Amino acid sequence: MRLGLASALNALNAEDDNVSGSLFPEAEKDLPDLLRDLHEENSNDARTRESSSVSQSGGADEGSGQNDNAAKDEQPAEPEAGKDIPEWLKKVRQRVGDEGDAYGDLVKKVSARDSSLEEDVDKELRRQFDDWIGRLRSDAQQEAARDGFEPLDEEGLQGEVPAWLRYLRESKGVSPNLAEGMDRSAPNAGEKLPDWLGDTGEESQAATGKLKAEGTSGENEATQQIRLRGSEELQEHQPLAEQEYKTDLVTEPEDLGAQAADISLGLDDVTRQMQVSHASLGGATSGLSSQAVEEGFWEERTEHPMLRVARSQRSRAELLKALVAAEGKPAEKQAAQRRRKTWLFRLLLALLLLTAVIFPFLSTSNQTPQTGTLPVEAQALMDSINALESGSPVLIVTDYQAGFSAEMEQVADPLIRHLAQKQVQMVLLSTYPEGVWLAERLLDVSLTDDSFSQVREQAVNLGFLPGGRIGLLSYAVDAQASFAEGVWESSNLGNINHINDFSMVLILADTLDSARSWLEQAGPSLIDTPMFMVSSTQEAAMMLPYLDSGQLAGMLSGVQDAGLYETALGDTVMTSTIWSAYQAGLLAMATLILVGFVIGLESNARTKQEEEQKK
Amino acid sequence: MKKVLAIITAIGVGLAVVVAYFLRPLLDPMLGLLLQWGIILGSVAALVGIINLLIMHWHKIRQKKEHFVFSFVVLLSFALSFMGGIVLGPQDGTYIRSLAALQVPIEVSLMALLALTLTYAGFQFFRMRGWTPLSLAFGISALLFIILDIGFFQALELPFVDHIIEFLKHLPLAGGRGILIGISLGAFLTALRVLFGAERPYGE
Amino acid sequence: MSMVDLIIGIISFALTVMVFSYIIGDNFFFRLAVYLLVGVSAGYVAALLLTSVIIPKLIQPLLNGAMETRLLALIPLVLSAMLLAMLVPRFVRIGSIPMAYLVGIVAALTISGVTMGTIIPQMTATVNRFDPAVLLDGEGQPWLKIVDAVLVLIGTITSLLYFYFGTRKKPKGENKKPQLIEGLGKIGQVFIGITLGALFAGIYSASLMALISRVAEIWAFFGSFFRL
Repeated sequence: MRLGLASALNALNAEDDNVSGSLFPEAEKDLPDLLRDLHEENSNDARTRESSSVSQSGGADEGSGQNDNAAKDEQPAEPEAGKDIPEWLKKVRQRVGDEGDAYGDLVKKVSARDSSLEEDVDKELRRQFDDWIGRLRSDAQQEAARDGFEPLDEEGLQGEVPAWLRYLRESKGVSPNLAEGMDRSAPNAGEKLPDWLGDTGEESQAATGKLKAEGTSGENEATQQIRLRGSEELQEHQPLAEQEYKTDLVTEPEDLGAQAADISLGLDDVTRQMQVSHASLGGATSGLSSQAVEEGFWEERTEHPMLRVARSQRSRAELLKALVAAEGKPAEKQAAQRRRKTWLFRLLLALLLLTAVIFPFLSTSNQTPQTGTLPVEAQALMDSINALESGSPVLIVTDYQAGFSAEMEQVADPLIRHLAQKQVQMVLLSTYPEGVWLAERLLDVSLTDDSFSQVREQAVNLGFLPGGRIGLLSYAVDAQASFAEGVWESSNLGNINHINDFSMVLILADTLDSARSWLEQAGPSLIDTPMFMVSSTQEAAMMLPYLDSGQLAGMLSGVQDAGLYETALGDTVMTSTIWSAYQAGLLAMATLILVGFVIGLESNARTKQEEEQKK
Repeated sequence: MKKVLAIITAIGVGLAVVVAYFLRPLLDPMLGLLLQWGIILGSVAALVGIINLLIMHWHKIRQKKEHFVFSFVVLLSFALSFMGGIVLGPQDGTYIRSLAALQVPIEVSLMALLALTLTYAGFQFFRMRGWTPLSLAFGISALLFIILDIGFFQALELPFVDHIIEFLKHLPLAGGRGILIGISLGAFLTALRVLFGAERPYGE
Repeated sequence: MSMVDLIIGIISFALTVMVFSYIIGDNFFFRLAVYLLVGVSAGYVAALLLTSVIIPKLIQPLLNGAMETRLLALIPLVLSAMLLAMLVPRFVRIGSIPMAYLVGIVAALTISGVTMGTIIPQMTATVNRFDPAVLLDGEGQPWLKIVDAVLVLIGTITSLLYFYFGTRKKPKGENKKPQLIEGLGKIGQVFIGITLGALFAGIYSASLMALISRVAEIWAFFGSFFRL
């Protein structure tokens, strides 16, 4: 700085003749005194600036007009200096101000000296803030290392900024404040900006004014412009939680260390709470610090990852943390004692039911099968079969699983025998893979009588109809194409080319899904051919709507209906033992439900009584 | 690209089948062809599922995971069953008898276990489910139909009893119709969403 | 009793006991029986699909069919290959196109099926119960039939309303269903409960029959030895 002044002075002395002839009136001859005065003034300004906090550096504006303004503004701050200013100096300044283009070498060199002074100031300020940011960065890295986050390097930073931080910056221009650690009493504004950031223009001007009031009168307009621009840039970056913090940073650089420590503590608190968030938080902390070094002070401070977390966000984060922590842990086991009691009770109930079922096998009673009126839908089925002629083709679909074969064989048995008595052509088909051999098994179980041998031999098993619902519609569209080549031809089905060519379609279904598939896909294709259902009791209730709508011409469901059908046919094939065992099992279940109902009532009443007593 | 192709395929095929169905028998050949391809693909998809099951069990054996000995059982029984079906044919009498000897006892016994479980559930029902209209109607209806199934009242052969029993047995009609229409409407809307491309359950 | 029947009888008894051992808790024998069932069923289904569908409908037309048939069979062949590629984790996404084909067809069948097979017939049936021809013809008193028809109509509508879960947004307090719908839904609960109770009784009856058949078979097996 002094060297620059000295060289300027030398240059000026060397050009005395030229300068004095062109610029100044002859009367004004104390040029060295003029220069000395100017030098003393500016030295005082520099000293003042060194002792004050630094604002953001911006481009230094050059221009004698600004210098003059600065000079004019500075005059009130130094009343004593103003008294000593010679009259001629005042006239010089006035003349320079009036003549906008009268820059001259002297003014240019003074401007250059000012610029160099500003640069020196900015360098010093920058050095101080580099130190501060470096301290913050090292703290954050230590925290990240302790918490297991991997800090990002500077090169990786740009692509590693968390999406939430990016989004917040873009949408609001600022990120939420880090208030949790530093000031718990601060309102959880979430994305709301602090008040002091509400109008950056005013604030920056106010800050500028404050700076001026605090003894920064020595600085020129260029430096003030730097501060102003820095304040404006603040609104684009991470604001701090407290206005005092900002002001303190500006005015007392010695307090930066304490402020950095506070920020670090706040960051500690938040990162502990946000441990479930991914490593980019810690990485962002360190990475952002390094980025701040590159971009200068204002960017450093505003991009500091001080995250303001709303209560709802914190609770969600803690919930996620608990869920992640619970993952992989074994579920809590019930008390062993309660499990043993439950196990014993279940075993007891099972033994009770088994006893009820086995008892009829031990007794030798000759109880006859059930009597009663055949249901209307079963009667319709019986009437339809009675109306069949000998040799009529009947499609029998065995769409049930092996687990239901016990019940389905029991229920379908009288029907199959009735059909065999009518000497019909049975055509078997199934959309279930195991239905293929279950159909054979059904015929083997039902047609044991020698009189049925011819019917048994003439029965055609078309086998497996693949594709489920797709296969059913395909069968309704083109029956022959649904099977492998040669299957239909080898079946000797004669004139049967379409599902409508059958005299009757009998579906043996164990689930609602398979029954509905036939009703919805194949049913609409049936015009004159009636469809009947032999259903397991587990879905009989859901078949009633189809029966009511006329989509099903008749139905037989349940062992009881099968027994009544047998009785109506004049057969008694189903052994009384099985029927007795069935009744015993149902009676046991009915008794248990009633007992459970009574116990439930009693415990409910007891609970209410206890609650009333407590009240 | 694959995503767009998949969506176009689903919507195109679906619309073609719907149009052909409602314009029957005009477009029956096209409908039949599309359905045949669907049958083939469905069978291949089932095979893929079975192969996946085998691969999973193979990995369990290789990695010696817990209970990997059961994976041996699965693979061994699959191999025997598959080879028997290929060599003898799925319709062969001996093959079917062997199959039935294994499958029927296990599956029927599993169903029988259900009876024991339901017995426990029936006893606990009112204690666990509380006294809502739904639970009360459920419990009383279950009790009623079990008693009706016993056949005691039918055995009396009294005319008015038969009418009452018939009325009671047809009571589930209303609720069943509501449930059926509800299920159908839900399935209809889901299928429409697939045809509009809003629902894409084909793993894109 | 032949040797084959004896062996089958012993196997059947052993498997039944192994499954019933679940009463005392999950154990090795129960798992053995279940895994055996899985393996046997999978083997049978695979053999059946290969012999009944894949070979006759896909492979044979490609090898022995006419040119037109072969060309047409190429499409399912390519799609099947894409499906098989799903077994390799890297190529899972390739299978989305044949899966989309299947989903599209099933969706179309669902639309056509439920429309023509359930929704229209069921709604028509509910309305037809009020048809004067139906009320006056046939057996039974007309007024009883009207009562029956009204009961079915109310039951159907209230059952559907029970599954209505839309709520009205209130300025403060909970969002609740409209009171009318909630009230009607409670009536629907009764009808649904009746149906579900009947289904429960049906499931129990079916499983009881399974239990009885197992007991009867074991009884018959041992009876043949001890002449019971």
